[in-house]
This record gives sequence, C-alpha cells and structure tokens, in this order.
Amino acid sequence: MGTLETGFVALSVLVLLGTAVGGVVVADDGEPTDRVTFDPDVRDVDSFEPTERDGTAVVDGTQYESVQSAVDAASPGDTVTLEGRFEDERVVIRTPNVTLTSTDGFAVIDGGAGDSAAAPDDDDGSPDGKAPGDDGAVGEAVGSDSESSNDTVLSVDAPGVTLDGVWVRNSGLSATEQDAGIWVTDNGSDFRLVDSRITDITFGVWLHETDGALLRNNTIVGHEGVYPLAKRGNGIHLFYTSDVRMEENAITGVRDGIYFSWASESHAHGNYMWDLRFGVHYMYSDNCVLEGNVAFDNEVGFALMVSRNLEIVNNTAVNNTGPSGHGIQVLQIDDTVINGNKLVGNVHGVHLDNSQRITLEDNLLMENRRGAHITSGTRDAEVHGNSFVHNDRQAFTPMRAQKHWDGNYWSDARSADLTGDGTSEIRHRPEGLVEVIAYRNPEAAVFTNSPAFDAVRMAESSFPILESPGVVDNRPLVEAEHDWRRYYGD
Amino acid sequence: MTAAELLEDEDGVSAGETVFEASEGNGTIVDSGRRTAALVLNEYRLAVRSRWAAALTAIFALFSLLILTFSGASVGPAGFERIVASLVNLAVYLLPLAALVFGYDAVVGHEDSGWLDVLFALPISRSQVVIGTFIGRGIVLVGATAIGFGVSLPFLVRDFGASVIPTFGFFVFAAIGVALAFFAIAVLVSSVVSEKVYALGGVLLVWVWFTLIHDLLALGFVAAFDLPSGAIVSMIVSNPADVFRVLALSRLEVGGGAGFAAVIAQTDLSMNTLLASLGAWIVLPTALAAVLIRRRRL
Amino acid sequence: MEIKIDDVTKTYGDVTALDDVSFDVERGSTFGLLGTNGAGKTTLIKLLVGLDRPDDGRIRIGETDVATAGRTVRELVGYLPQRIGFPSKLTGREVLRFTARTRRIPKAKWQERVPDVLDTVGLAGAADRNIGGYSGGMRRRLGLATAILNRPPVLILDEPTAGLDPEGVAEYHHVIEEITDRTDSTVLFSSHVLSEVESLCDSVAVLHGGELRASGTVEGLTESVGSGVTVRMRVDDVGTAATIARRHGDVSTSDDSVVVELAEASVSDLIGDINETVDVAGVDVERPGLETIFHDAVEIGDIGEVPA
Repeated sequence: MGTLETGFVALSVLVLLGTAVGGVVVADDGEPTDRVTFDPDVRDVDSFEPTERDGTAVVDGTQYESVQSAVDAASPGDTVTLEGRFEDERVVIRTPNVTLTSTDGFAVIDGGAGDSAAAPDDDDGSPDGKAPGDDGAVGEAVGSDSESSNDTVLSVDAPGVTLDGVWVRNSGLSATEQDAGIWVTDNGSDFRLVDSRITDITFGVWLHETDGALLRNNTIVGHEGVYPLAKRGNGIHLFYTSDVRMEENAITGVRDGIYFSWASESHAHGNYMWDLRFGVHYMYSDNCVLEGNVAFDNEVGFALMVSRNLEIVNNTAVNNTGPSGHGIQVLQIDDTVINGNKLVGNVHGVHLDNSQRITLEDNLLMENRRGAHITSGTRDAEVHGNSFVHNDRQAFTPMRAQKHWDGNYWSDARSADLTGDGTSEIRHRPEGLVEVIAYRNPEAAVFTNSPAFDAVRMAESSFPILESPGVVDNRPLVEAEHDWRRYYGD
Repeated sequence: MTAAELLEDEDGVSAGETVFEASEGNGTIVDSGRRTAALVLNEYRLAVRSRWAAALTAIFALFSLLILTFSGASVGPAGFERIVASLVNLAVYLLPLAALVFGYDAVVGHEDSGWLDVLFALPISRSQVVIGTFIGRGIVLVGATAIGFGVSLPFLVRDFGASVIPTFGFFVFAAIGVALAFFAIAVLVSSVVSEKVYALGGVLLVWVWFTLIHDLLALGFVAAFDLPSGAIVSMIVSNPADVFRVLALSRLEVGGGAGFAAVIAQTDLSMNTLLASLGAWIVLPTALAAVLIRRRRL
Repeated sequence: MEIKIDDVTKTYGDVTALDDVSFDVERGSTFGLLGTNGAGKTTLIKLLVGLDRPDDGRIRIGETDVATAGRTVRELVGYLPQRIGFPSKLTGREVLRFTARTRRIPKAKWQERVPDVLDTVGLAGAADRNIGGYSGGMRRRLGLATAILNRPPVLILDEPTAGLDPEGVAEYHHVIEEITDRTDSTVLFSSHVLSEVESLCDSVAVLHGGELRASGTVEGLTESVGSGVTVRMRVDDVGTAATIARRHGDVSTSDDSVVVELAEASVSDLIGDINETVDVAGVDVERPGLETIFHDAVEIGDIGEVPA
C-alpha cells in the first residue's frame, strides 16, 4: 500500500469522523433565527408608571376633586389643568372648545373598570368567540349609537375639545359594549388628542360619526392579557368619520391598530403598530391616505378591504406572520395606489384578491414566503419598479393568463444590460407553468429547484413564444432601487 | 530455481495434485470475505493510482469552494442555508455525472485489457468480482465526496459558527449516498454491456434520464392527471437524484416556498422512506449486477 | 489429474463452436490442442476452466464436473487466457500477491514463492515495475507465473506463444518443458503452431470447424501415417537420378530435382547410389509428422491458413 493510497483513506476517514463528531457535539440546537433584522425604535410601553398622588383639576384658578366637576365648571374655551391621579373617574365633556392638559407629567384619569376583571365581560354569543365587527364591521354599525358605554372612561360630546398630555386608562373589557378609553360622539367635531396616553382599554379612541379629528403622538396600549385578539377592541376606531388625521401614534395590545369603517378622506401618517391582529384595517372607507406607517409582528400589516381610492405610500410592514400573514392585504379594493412600501419577512409581501386597477409600484418585497400573491379575479394590476428580493417565491398567481410585469427588479433573475439603460434584455419568468402546477398540487412542490423545474422555467423565459400562464417581466431592472441589505442587519 | 524445482514440494516429492496449494477455509463466509477483500484492495489501489481519487476530490473541492466564494455576500443563518441550497443545486447535476463516469468502465474496462479474463479464472465468484469492484472503487468515491465537499466546512464554521456542522454533515452524508447510488447504476451498466462505448453511452442516458426527463415526466403527470396520494412519493423515490435533493433540502428553511420541510410534510415522505430508498438505490443495482454478470460472455 | 471430455457440444446462436467432441487427457501428460483460428480451441478451453458451460455433454477434471463446480475447478486449474492482460498501474509482484490472496495461499507460503515464481519466469528484475512498461512477452510470462503460483495439478494455457517474438517463444518453451518434464502436472495448451506441439506434447487433439478430427499420442498418430520418409534431391541430371532412385522407392520428378518416398532405412543407400552417378546439389529429408496428420485431418483448402 503506497502512501498515497493510505493517505487518501486516512484523510477520508478523518473528514467523515470530524463531521460526524462535530455534528454530535454541536447537536442540533442551532435553530436558525429570523434572518431579517428589524429593530424599530418604539416607546417602551411596559415602563409606563402612573402617579399615585391624588388628582386635582384647576379651572380659572379654582381647584376641583374630579375632572367631571372641573369640565362642567369650565366655560367654552377654558383650559382645565390636571395633576395627579383621578380614581374611578367617568368623564363626559359637554363644554365646547375646552382643553384638558397636565402640569406635571401625565395626569391620570383612571376608569378603574379594567383592574378587577380577569376576563372580558363578553356575551356576544358567537361560538368561536369572534366579536362582531370582525372583518365585516356591520355588527358594530348596527349595534352602536352615539352614546358611550358605562365603562368608557372619557366621552367627548362637544365640538373643539382638546386633550393634551393626559393619560386615560382602565376602561371596561367588553368589545361588544364598545368600552373605550375615549369616546367622541357626533357632537365632537374637530376633536384633538395630542401627546397623550390611553392604556389598559378595550377600544382606545372611538370616533363616532365625528369629522375633523386630529390624533397626534399618542400611545395606545390595550388589555394585553385578552385572548383571542378578536375579543379586544381597536386602537383607533373610526366609525362614519371623515377628515381625520392620525400622526405618529404608537399602538399595541389591541385588536386592530387603526380601524376605518365608513371613514373617508382620512390621513394616517407615521404611526407605529405592533403585536396586533391587523396594524391598519380599512372597511368601506374610501379616499384615504396611509403614509409612512410601520406595522410589525402583527398577523397582517395593512389590511385593505372593500374600499376604493386609497393611497398606500411608503409604509413598512415587517414580520407579519399570522395564519394568513400579509404585509399588505388587498381584498376587493378598487383604484388604489400602493407605492414605495417596504414589505419584509411577511408570509406574503402583498396579497391581492379580487381587486381592480391596483398600481403596485416601487415597493420592496423581500424575504417573504411569497413576494406578491395575486389571485384570480384581480384585474388590471400594474406592477412595476418593485424590487423582489429573496422571497422564497417571488411572485405567485394562479391565473391562467400570462401577466406582464415589466420593469421590476428580481434578485434571482439572470440579467444582461447590453444597451446600458438599466434594464435587462433577458426577460425574466418569476412565475410560470411549474409554479402553477405546484400550486394546484402542493405535493408537487417537492420538485421545486429540481433540474426539470429549472429547465421548464428556463424554456419559459428563453422562448417568448411559449405563452404559458404566469408572470413575465420583459425588461427586468438590473439594479434594485431599494437598499434592501439593511434588513439583513450590519 | 527452475520451474520443475518450483513445482516440487519442499521435501522433493514430485509436484502434482497431491501438493498443490489448496485454499484455506474454503466456502466459509470469512474465506469468501477475505477473497473479496483482496479484490477491494486491488480496485481501490487501481482507482487511486489512476488518479481518480485526486481528480474527483479536486473537482468536488473546486466547485464547492467556488460556490462558497460566490455566495459569500450575506451572513447569518440565511447565508449558510443559501450556500447549502446552492451546493445541493450543483451537486444534483455534478455528483450523478461524476459517479456515472467514474463507474462506467468498472467491469467492462477490465475486459478490454484482458484483466477480466484473469479475474474470472480465479477461484472467486463473478458476483464477488462485482461486489469487490463496487466496494473498492466506492471507497474512493466516498472519500473524494467527503474530502471534496468537506473542505468547505472549516470556512463555513469560520463564517457561520459551529452550529452549521450538523446540517452540513447531513448534506455530505446525503451527497455520499447519491454518489454511491449512481455509481451502483454505473456498475450495473458496466456489468451487462459488451463494450466500453456502450457503457459510456448508457450511463450518459441514465444521467439525462434521472436529472431531467424523469422529473419532467413526473411534473407532466402531476399536471395532467388527478393522481392518487402516494404517486408523488413513488415519483421521488424512483429517482435517487430527487431523493438526494429532498433529503439535503429538508434540513433547510429556504428552497421551495414555505421551507422545504413544510413541503415534504404535505407528502407522505418520511425521513426513513427517503433514507431507505437511497439505500435501496445503492444495494439493488449492485445486487442485480452481481447476478447478471454470471451471464456475461468473455 | 486427468481430464475427460465426453460428447461436448456448444453453439453460439447459429454457430456450432464444438460439435460432439470427446477425448481424454491423461494425468501428467502434456497435451496439445491443435487447430486453425476458429476451430473451437478457445471455446473448449473456456468450457474446461468453467468460464462457460457446454450445451450438451460433460467435462470432468479428476472427479469434478466442471459445469457444476466452477469454483472448485478454478482452484485446481492454473489458467492462462489467450487474451491476457493486467492493469497497467500494478506491478508484477502486486499481481502475484493479489493472485495469492484470492487463491487464499497462506501468507508465509506466498511470501516465499512469489520471488521464486518471478525468478522462474524471468521477471525478477522487472517485478516492481508497472506492467504498463512490460513487453508482450513479459506479460505472458507474468500470466504463466500467476497460473503456476499455487502449483496447480492442471495447467491450461490458451495459445501461450501467440504473438511472441522467436526469442520469447523459445523462453516460453523452455519454461513449459521444465514443468512438463519434471512434474506430474497435467498441462494442456492450444496452439496453431505444429512444431511447438510436436516438440512439447505427448498427446494431441486436432480440432477443425468445431469437430474433433484426430486425437491420440503424437507417436501413435505418426505411426498411423506410416514410417516412410520423403527425400528431395536437387540434381543436374534428373532423368538418370530418377532411374537409379526407382530401385529404392516411388519417384516423382521436377525440372531440377527428384522426390523419392521410401523406407527410412534405405535413405543412406539411395543417397549413396545417386551420389556415385549424378552431381547432387542438395538433399532434403522429410519425415512424416503432425503436419501430415494435420493435412489429413482438415480439408486441404484450409491448410493455407495454418502458419507453418
């Protein structure tokens, strides 16, 4: 036996043993962590600590023991200055143009209703515990009137009221009774809520047939112990409103962060929503703008349903991984622009279902299981300028027709830019025959990435004459227009 | 010493049937094992000397290091999984081809030189010749696969930590399995065809069939017919390249859609089924070759 | 150990390679299997060593039926295939060690015998060189070495000298002669070279077209064709020489020579008589041998294919 022969066997055994021993020693605890890195700078809601000092309310130099007496005593246009903590308060503001503010930290208006209840007082009677208004919102509309429930902490029943820097907490636990931190009736137009906290509530702010409200820089935290999420209320609940502006609020621990029902011409900007069912939820709400909001760790980031003329711009949805976890869900939506959003690490980046004339433009769809999922029944979708980066499946549509999505960036495309115009001359086939087969027969997905799979795909992208169903990009972008690498961390 | 002296016994007794060196322990398993071991050693030695060991190792190492180099952009577990997925995608072409080309002349090649005549005239069965050839050359293939792909491991550990060893080790294990399976098929082809060129053509057809046509037909069947449950399983296990791909990817989260493990969960494919079928793909062609070689005419 | 071949028939498709062949090879004899290319020699040898099975008939080596005990036969028989080859990356010594291991010769024995056998076949100096560098003769001698390594009672060699240069043939003959002269080993070899069979063998079988045309001892066969000799003399006076020659035997003439067939005892008288009267330019005496047998055994037309 020569040294070469002995050496080769020895080296082989060494490598095999090394790998085996290494495998045993290291064991299999190296469960891969989420590959997407996302660490938004949100307020630490767990550190909120209400003051224990007894509350005092001052109007016009006169001091009151309760907020209610103070606002009752106030004249229109007066400012009520609050300090300390008011226990078991129920406040109804009937004085127009009054302002409530705090002098020292957040004055606390404590409804006291949520403290003792371990479980929500929920008698909606639906067997699966689904609260009315889940998805449909019709129940809420029928069952509600302009009056707030007994376990609502603060009601606004006059126009022009402002709350600035106050802390409303502990509403009742019933979603069906619509227990809210703040309830604004149809008299409460031009309501302003700024720099405030609404915590331990079922609904945070309920705007009931109210126009012209402004909600800015508030923190809304629901009863985080209530499950399922359907038994919680919403952070901001718009009901037949228009012209509402919501800016830079932070919302968690509720069912849906911002819920639009029959709300129009409303603008949500720069809000943060996490650990929710839906970050933002539109129902029957037209002509709204959603811009620069961030939704993460929810079941669905932004759920758009049965509405039209929305502008969904520059929002971010990350790690929304519910059972049907979408970055942006688009269900029966017409004439809507979805532009410049970053949809990263969700189950589906964007999910279009039965929607018409949707423009999907300049979005980043990255590391989702499916980048864009478009069901049959969706018509006239325009898809361009988007970056599809490292989604397990970049695009998916079970439609029998061939869709042309020209001018997107595909991280898995072979590209060749011979003309130097930034687009590749090689057409790309993100979605074709084999994907459709695998969708109809989920078992067949075991052939994914097999040479045969690749061969069919290559044939589909190389020979335009094959008009097989699926998605084609005739002019894929050579470079992504998004800085997607930052989502992989440093 | 003259030939006559040589044929005489040490005691000067005339040589003949009374003094020839009868074999020890005829017929026992140990005896037959020792004879096979001589064949194994000889085949192994030939495969190393004809530079197959070095060539295969170099090819595997070259390709695995190339993939390591070119997919080095992203770090973290995702980066590692992408590298392994890329290795699987490469290996599913390369390993069957290398194993088939390595094995196609294992038997028929010896006929050309006349060595097969010598082997068949020895007091060993033809089945032993096939099995000894399979094991002896197989050791080289196993070694080349282990070393060729194993060279990436230190780099992977450096970049991604020691936690990648089990997954990568499993990949190497599956790679060895699929290499042996295709090598067994090559030995079968080599045992039944009469000339080397037919063997080469045969293994290339085998390669095209298993890397491409089998799966294309399978996809076609899936698309065209309403297949009973279990059809997909039989399509996978009837292709060792598929078995390897599924085995190697099953440890990863990337790949087909919701993580390959989730895809496999939709089928009836269990880890045991996959391992057993890969084992069968190694054993059955070799066994068939060991039987069919008896019909071979020199 | 004797070899008995009884009524052996073997066909490959439409071709009858052996047709009802029977003969015996005596223990300790050296047996020549003679025939032209395609006569069936190699087929018969493959049947003898168990590489193939007869369609009909039976072959026994000693008491062993070859068809049912292939491996036992290969234990008993040292075999040199016609088409012998070795992997070029092995050395001669490694081939012998490999042979010893597969024959399960005890290590102590083969360690001693491998150098001896190498010496015998004249490969001691080349034993550790790769066979890739061996000449054809060296390879065949290495083949013989593998065949005799375990001192087999039966040695079967298929065309052992085919393709060797004259020097190689001579060396090979020398080795075979040593084995056959001094041992009890039964040696059977095939050849199409009449002279080597005649000089080495006790017995012979002539195959042609798959049929056994003649078999027996060389002596017996020679006697069966008579004891006369043929004398060819080149002379300047053919007519006179022929007249004298007729007194000694049958005469035929050509332009410059007379050919006389006569009893061997009269040859010197014949030559003496003619030499007295006529100038003799050359004398050539032919004794009848295997060539005559071969002539008789096969069709005349086939003789042209036999290299003399």
